[in-house]
Amino acid sequence: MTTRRSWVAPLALALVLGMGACAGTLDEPERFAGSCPPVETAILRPRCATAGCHAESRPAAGLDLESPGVLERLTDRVAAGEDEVLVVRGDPDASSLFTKLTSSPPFGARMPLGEVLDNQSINCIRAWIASAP
Amino acid sequence: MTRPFVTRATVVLGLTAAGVSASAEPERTPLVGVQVGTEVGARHLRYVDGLTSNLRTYDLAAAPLLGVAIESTPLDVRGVRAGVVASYARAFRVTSGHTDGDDIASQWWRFHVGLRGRLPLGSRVLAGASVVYGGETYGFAMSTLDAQVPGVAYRFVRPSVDVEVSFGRFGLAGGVGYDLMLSSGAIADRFPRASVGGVEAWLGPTLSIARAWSVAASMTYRRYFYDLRPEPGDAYVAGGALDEMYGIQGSVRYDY
Repeated sequence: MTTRRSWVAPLALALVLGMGACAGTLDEPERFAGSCPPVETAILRPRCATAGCHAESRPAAGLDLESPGVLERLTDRVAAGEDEVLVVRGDPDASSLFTKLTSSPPFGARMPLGEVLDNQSINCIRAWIASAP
Repeated sequence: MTRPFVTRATVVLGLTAAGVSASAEPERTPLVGVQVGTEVGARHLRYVDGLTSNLRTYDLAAAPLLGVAIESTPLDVRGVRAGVVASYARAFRVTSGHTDGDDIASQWWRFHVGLRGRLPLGSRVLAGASVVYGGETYGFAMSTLDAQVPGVAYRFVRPSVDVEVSFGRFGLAGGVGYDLMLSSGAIADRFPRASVGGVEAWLGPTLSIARAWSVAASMTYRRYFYDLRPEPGDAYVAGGALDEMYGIQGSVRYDY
């Protein structure tokens, strides 16, 4: 009897803890539609500036997407070995920084290699370039 | 009969508790128990309702860990043996795969130190309770991977309860604990309104193999859960996250 009782408390506690140990959820995901995070720090740096890709140290194609001031550094700069301009302020469709993310890149493979960006992130980069003065 | 140690330290380390002795020798309460063991650990991190693409899952299928735990309960307060516990465990040869194919050295270690009490309930049952300060850290040697899958550095106060039931030389021990989180590292840093909690549960058999010596096996499960509470415009948007860690342990214990 004692043995049985002694298991009750830990088991009951485990159940209580287990039921309360859940991750949160988004109650209103529609609130986030169209809202964009800081592009450089929240999209380019974590997704593109990885080791062996466009990190500050030995960036692929000489394209550093990790250091601050990406927009300023890439404006009117031509992509290495190509005729495409990386960033044309106000014109994302003429900016290979954006078009390389789409399903029809102007040259080479779609970026990023592996898992592509979600549509919202791509749209945020588009808006970021389009709104650049 | 030698009074068994059921350790909270077990948990901590992930090493299970030890020994129930069927010896007929005069009772002598052990003052110190030392436990060493090995573990195969796994980790799975995922986000719930993640909207931004800068949130990556992380999976570690299996990694070896080594650990040590010490328990000393010299005080007798109205039948409750009371004292301290401490433990440390660390993984070795852990690497993390990167999308470009490189392997990146990773670190995984945890520790606990705190107070423990044990109370016999009849001849076959030993209940225990502990309050420990502890930590669990999982990090990466390369900052670029850290940018995608942030390392964690959980620090917490963990109250827990446990019980061991003996069947001759055999025993079955288990328990649960809840983490009152003091800090949690980079994931929560990216979500300024986040709250974090943690729970742990463990269960496993024990076997007394000789006077003062015992072996144990156990399964442990730790679950750190986040409520991330993002707002529009935040750099990272997800409803929550789950950081789960599993372990299967084997250990040897000596009670002095």
